[in-house]
Amino acid sequence: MLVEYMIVSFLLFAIGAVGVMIRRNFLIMLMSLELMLNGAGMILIVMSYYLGNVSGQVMFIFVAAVAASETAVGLAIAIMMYKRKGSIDINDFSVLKK
Amino acid sequence: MVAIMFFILSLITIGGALGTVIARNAYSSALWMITSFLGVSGLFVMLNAPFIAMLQIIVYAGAIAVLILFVMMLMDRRVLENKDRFNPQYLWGAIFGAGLLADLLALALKFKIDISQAGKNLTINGSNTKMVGDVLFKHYLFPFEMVAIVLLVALVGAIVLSKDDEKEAR
Amino acid sequence: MLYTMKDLAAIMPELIVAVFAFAILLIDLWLPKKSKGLNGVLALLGVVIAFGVTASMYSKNISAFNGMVVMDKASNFVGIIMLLTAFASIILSFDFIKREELEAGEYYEVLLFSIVAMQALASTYNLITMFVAVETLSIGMYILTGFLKNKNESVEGAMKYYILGSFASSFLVLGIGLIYGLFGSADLNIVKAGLAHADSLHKWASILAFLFIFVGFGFKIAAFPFHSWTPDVYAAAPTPMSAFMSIAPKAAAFLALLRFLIVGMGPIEVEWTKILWVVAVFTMTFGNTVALFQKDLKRLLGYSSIAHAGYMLVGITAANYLGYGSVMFYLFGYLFMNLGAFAIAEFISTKEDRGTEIANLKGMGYRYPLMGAAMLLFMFCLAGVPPTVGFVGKYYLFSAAVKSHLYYLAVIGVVNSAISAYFYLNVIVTMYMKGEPEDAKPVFNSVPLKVVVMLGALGVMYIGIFPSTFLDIAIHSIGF
Repeated sequence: MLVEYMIVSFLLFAIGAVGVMIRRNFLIMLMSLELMLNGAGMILIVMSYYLGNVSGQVMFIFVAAVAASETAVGLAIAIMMYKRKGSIDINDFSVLKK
Repeated sequence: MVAIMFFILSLITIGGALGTVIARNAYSSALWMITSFLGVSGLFVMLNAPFIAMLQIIVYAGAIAVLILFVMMLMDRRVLENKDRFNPQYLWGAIFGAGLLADLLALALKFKIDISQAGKNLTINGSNTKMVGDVLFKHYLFPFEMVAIVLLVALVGAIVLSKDDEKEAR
Repeated sequence: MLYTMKDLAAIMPELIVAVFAFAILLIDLWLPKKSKGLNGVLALLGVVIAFGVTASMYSKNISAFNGMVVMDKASNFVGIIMLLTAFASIILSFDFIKREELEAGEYYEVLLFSIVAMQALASTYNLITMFVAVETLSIGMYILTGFLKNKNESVEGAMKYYILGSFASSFLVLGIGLIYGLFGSADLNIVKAGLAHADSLHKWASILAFLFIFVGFGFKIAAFPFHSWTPDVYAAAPTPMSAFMSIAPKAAAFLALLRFLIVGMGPIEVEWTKILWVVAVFTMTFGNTVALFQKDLKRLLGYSSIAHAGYMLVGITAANYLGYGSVMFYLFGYLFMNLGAFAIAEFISTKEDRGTEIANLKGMGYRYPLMGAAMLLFMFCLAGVPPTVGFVGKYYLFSAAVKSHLYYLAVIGVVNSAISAYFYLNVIVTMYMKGEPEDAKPVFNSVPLKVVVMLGALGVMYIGIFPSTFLDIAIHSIGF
């Protein structure tokens, strides 16, 4: 079963990674980032079960807390984008490329 | 029975994740994301981590998803449903993702560790929560304190970045 | 298992900075609008006290919180680098905040908390603590990048930094998960013991895990495939913060990377030196080549900081103690030259637009002789011309590579320094030989800024001419 669990979490991670790269909507990119972090965190829980070692579960708590605070800042950035340009499409923001 | 449960839950998880990435508008994306998180939480229960499973529901499916939906509420509907779903360079993204996935699958298939202890040592007197708390405060006190700082910084930062400028309001 | 006062001694500098950050958070609420400058003074005081404590505890060797935190020479050395950077950036911020009308309290508070995170990152052997610290400092940096929220560039810079940064840190978590699965712990000493007698399968898997973790750290130090945020973010952030984030997070991340590589991945040294060889070559070459075409001083410094990260990776690739020590010394020297250069970028900037185009430097050498001379010195130093610290640092980095028989790497490094001389000299030529501009823009006349420039110039000259003391301290700081 270890392999199956690992495949599920890797799939979650890879789908999230693809989502970050192909979407243009900043909020959906944010959600894809959450999927990535969750997939990576799931590895900790899977390993914790198969090793019989509870540390992995504790590490997941840190990952979850960090994910929540990261999202809060990301959403603040989304609001900034919306206020500046009335859009959250990342392709509308390209003044820095000279 | 376990295999069937695993199959259903992982189907929910992966299906939800795919839905998040390809859904046309951001609302359905968020709902798919919540579905995916609930599936993951079910998998955590199967992995003898009931406390983390509840945490998953509260933090990911609860706090984060609600936060994202709140922000969507502040925005114009037309902003969220843009015509072009994907980046012009989406092919590169998909190729990179496929490469990453192939890499990870090779790793998963070859991965071998000693699993004689599987599912043991995760509880004290039958309570997983007690065990997590024990390890958290005995061994991981320092990162726990650091997490307090992350949350505070994120709080202050989110307020500073999103609050209206007084000059413009006047 | 009880925690005692001894545990607190190991995190003394962190505690002091954190206490001052909390104090600013509270005091800012009661301060009237016109005395917000007091926040800056308070932040400066906290940094100075923490610096004193770090310096007085320099040769202590404490392990605390069940091995979660260590205080050794390396962490103190990097702590000193970070606190000096913070000291200068806070002084640079004094007038900048008044000019741009930013919220001073939150600005200094986020700055101080990210220093706490960097100190924690520099002093731990546990991967999960490293992850939490990296994230805290990244979140702080995202916020500081977006602080000029009335400017489009700032919003865009924060957005790019956020997406790429979170993307990289997910890889970091994945790598930590794999390491934990393979060895049953995230503590680097246990990882080393497990890796020392692992079979080939475990080694192969841990190389993959190493790659994932390297994505996370490589992003922080701006190594080649993960560099793309650097010029955008440096151009977008408030200039004092560009100066800060080009040095302090890099110093902390380099030390964490060194700990991870030397202690955790020590048994697979042969493999990671090969990977780092490639990364170092690409980082140097890319940074220097693209910098040739830059028109903006802050973007130029961004690309130059990628190139300098490449030089420092040469020292790590050498995988001997001379190399590790020279990385520390180079970081110390880099602090003075880069701070000075960014201070000059702030000097020519204006409130309305960015105003940091290199063309704006025209004739500066004659209008502001002292500032011009200082800029000349910084540019020579970044290019690595002899009597300055840049030359000494590069000399030791490349000689460490030669000592490990990496002749090609050393040659590529030297060729790269030669290429880099072109665009640094171009700045000097613009200052002295391109004549006067048609409409001379007013400069940012700020006394604290000039003080920082002078201190930077002094540091560059002094350490360049008498490097032996500092070199000795830096080389002996790595003791793990």
